[in-house]
Order: sequence, then structure tokens, then C-alpha cells
Amino acid sequence: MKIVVPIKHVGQLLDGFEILDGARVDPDFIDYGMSEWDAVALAAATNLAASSDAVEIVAVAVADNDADATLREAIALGATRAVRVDTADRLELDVLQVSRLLADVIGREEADLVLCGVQSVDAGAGATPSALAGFLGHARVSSVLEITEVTDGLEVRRELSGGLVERRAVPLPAVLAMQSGFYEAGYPTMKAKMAAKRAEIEVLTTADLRSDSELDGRRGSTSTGLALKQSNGSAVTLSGNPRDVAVAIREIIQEALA
Amino acid sequence: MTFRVVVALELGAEGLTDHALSAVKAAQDVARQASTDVTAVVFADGSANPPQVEWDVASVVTINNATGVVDGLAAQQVLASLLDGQGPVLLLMPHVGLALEVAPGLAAAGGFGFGANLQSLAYRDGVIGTRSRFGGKVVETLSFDPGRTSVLTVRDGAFASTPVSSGETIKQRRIDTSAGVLTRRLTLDARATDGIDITKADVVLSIGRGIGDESNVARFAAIADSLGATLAASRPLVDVGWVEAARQVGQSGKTVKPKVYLAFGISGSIQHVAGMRSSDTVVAVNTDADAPIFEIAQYGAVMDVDDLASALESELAPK
Repeated sequence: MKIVVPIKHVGQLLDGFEILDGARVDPDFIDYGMSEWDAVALAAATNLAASSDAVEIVAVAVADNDADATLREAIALGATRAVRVDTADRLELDVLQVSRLLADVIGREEADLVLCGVQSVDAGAGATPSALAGFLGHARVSSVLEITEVTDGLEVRRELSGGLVERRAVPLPAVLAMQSGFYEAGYPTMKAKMAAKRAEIEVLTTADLRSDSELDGRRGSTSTGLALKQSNGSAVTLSGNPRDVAVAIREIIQEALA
Repeated sequence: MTFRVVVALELGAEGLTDHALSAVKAAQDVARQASTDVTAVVFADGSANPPQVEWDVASVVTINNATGVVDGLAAQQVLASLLDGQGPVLLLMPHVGLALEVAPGLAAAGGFGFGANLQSLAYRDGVIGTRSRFGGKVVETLSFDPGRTSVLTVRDGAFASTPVSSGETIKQRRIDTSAGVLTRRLTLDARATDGIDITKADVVLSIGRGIGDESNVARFAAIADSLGATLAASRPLVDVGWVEAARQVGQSGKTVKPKVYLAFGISGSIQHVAGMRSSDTVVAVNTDADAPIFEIAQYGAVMDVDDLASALESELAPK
């Protein structure tokens, strides 16, 4: 079985971050790394590989070369190899454009299974798995916790709203969105890290996969501005030292229950 | 009429959720601004009866799959066939459940516009929406070409959940479909509760990543006891196994509406807020003054919850 795990090179915002030209977050204020749910997807892939000899895991990123460190981390965590679609000349691709390129790589690889993180740390939109499935015409399941291989495909355990858990039969090829809670993101050994440092990352250009004009037509929306969130909150500040706050909390509870 | 508005909903075991109803209201609002009308599409899973609704919409279409199962690809194909030949459509879905499997895929396969998890929506010679990024610290404005079909999902809690009423029951058109179902439900179960029910408590003390260490769980459990509160938690603490799943508040956990909700060390992700937004009073304590939880709190303190725990322990100790 060949598994593709799309990897997003992104991270948490650092304090005091700035927005450049009202259009993008200053990258100096992003603590870059592997988006945390992608690490869960990778852990799910390595788990499948552990129970079967013939599993190849390909980590794929659509990013500039800063993402190579994150792809090497993916290799250290168990990916067989890594592919990066270089976007140095196309910085502002949206989710459908990135998904279009990822789907092209997945098609080239003839992958049986695509394991995505359920959402990314920055956008939090959870759109990539379904977009990939849409481009590829594949089955898809969201919020998957656990994957079991069966003779005619996979059985997955996944979450639904309100604390419901479903078991679902999924034929291959398929795209699964991996939710946290079952597979734990791994830690690479020093040996694996050293080996990953020397691993070759296959680099493709967007032109290898898709013409610029086709890619432009895939844009889902136009971003017209980025701004700091203006607080709408009307929270009363509980000031003072911890003891003052403790007393205030006790009073709030007493009043509410009175 | 420039474009039509369609809102697509999933009928779950609990009927139509507030989130689904808020998508109807969002659709009505944007349709009114654009002087167009709304068609509602309801996906039923075969077991539930479609609800009778009095929404002010042009029509309601119920999709009943002959297999009795809603599958992401099948739903995408049904919506694609409904949109086929319609001219531009603005399709809205609540950002949850089936929509996560359907909306991006539909946009990808159809070459449509797309936007996820929008928190506002307006029509001004085109459709404009906003979405939050980086856990709510940044807001992005997106515009959608009104000349082509766009598929948008709308955020929980961002729109009122009371659709405008027409005062009469809307006649429904039912479509039976046997669109290719790839995935199949085997079982559906509620998560084990271990006898815990956080939904009945008047006071909930909910802990999150900010408590730092597993050893602190017992400490906050004891404080909850002293306050007469029930201990709950946000998803990360359940994921790592520090707190039982039955205590999880949020979209994939329980929805609580206590008189007082104490959020200690919880940043307030969209998914968490979905489960506690309707609490009477929210008190948030977090070291990050920009944490989104303060947006919905009535009382807030920027403070290390460890220090607060020590103060609460000495305040609550028998004297």
C-alpha cells in the first residue's frame, strides 16, 4: 500500500506578531514546524506500516524550501521519502490551489490512501482532505481516530458531533482526515534524525504539474485583507492578586446560585 | 436576480442543530441583501423524518438516499447535480459534519469558488465574507465572484439560529437518490460515559492545556469539589488521557449550559466554545490576554492558573 501524507509547514503565532501590507502575517512571527494534526496523520501511517511490510509513506508539501526541515522531520518520524512542490514564485496559493497540486502529486504517486490532518494550525478550516477527495474522485471520511486494514479496504473509527463514535467501512482509494486522540505523534530517534538529514527531497515545480493559467482558475476566493482581531469582548477584568481573583470567583458562584 | 442562494443541511439524530439553523438565517440575510431567494436542501439519513419547517424560503428539497446512509462523495454528487445548469449559486453549509466532507470537494470537482468557516457574510456587488485565522487572532476578508457558483461553510455561533419565518409550513420536495455510496456505516455508539454527566451541573470548572502538567488534574478536581463544581476539560487534556472523555466540553464532546462556567487555562478554540457558549456566566483565567475565550467571557483574569489554584486552595480551606 502506498500512503501519501500531506504536510503543512506552519506554526503558532508568536507574541507581538505583525501583519505586513494588510495582507499577510510577518513570517518572522510564526514558529514554523509541522502542523500538529499532520503529525497525527503521520503517526497513523507509520502504525499501518508497522503491521504490514509493503507500505510506503510519502510526505508531500506544497511550499518553499523552508519546508524542507519539516519534511526531514517527517522522514525522521517514519516517512519513506518526501516530495516538495516548490512555490517560491507562487507565495499566495489558496487551499484549492494547494489541494490541486497535492492531488496531482497523489495521482502521480498512484497512492492508495491519503492521510491528512483534520485541520491546520493556521487556517483551522479542515478543507484540504475533502478538496483532495473532490479532485481525485475518492471516498473520504472526516474526524477519523483509528484505522484498521481489512480484506476489502479499511475500517475506521471516527467521531461525530455530540460524543458519538461511528465505525465505517471505507474502500480504497480514500482520503481520511485524522483527528487527534488515538494515534500519538511520535518523537524521532537521534539516528533517524541523522539519516533524515541526508535524505534527498524530490523537488517539483508547479509547472511540472499544472500550468499557471490552470492554477489561477482554481482559486476559490480572493483575499482582500488581513487584520488583527478587534476585541468584541466585554469581559469585566478581575484585577488584583490571585487571592483577590479567588475571592471574586467564589462570590460570582455564590451570587449565581443564590 | 444575479444568483440564487442554496443552504444545505444534514438532518442528524437530534434533528436540525442550532448551527444548521444559523446557516439558514445566514442564507436568508445574504439573499435579502442580494434581492434573491433561498432554497433549502436537507440530507436525511433515511431513519429520521424530515422536519416540517416554516422558514421564509422559496422551497425545501429533502434528499433521501435509498441506502439510508449519508456518504460524503454521494452527497457531493447529489449537490453537483442539483447545481448543474442553475447559473451561479451561493451554496452555504454549516461548518460541521457532512459539510466538511462535501463542501471543499464539491468546489474542487466543480471548479467553484470556496470559503471555509466564515464568521460574517454580506452582499455588496459581490459576496464578501470574513474568517478567522491563527486561532482567532487574525481576521481575513475574502471576496467571491458573484458570476460563478461558490460553496461556503459558516461558523458555529456566528449567525443567529432563528431563521425568518414565513408563518406557514413549507411544502417539501423529496428526491430519492441512489447516488454511489462508497463508505458504509457499520456501527454508531455514544462514547462511554463512565457514569459521568457534566451537562446537569450548575457550576462547571473546566481545565485546558494551561494547567501544564497531568499532576495538576487532581488538584483542580479537588478545587472543583470544594466549589461544588463538576470538573470538565477541553479536548487536548482528553486526547492525552489526563481526563475522561465523558468530561470533554465541545463540538465532539458535550454541550453544557451551567449557571457558571469556569474556564481555567483554556484558550477557547471554536470547537470548545461550541460546547459552552450558552453558559449563563463565563469566568476565564488564562496567561494569554489575547486568548479567544475572553471574547465570550463575562469575567476574565490574565493570570497563571497555578497561582490561582494555590489561592483558591487556601481560600477554600476549612478555617
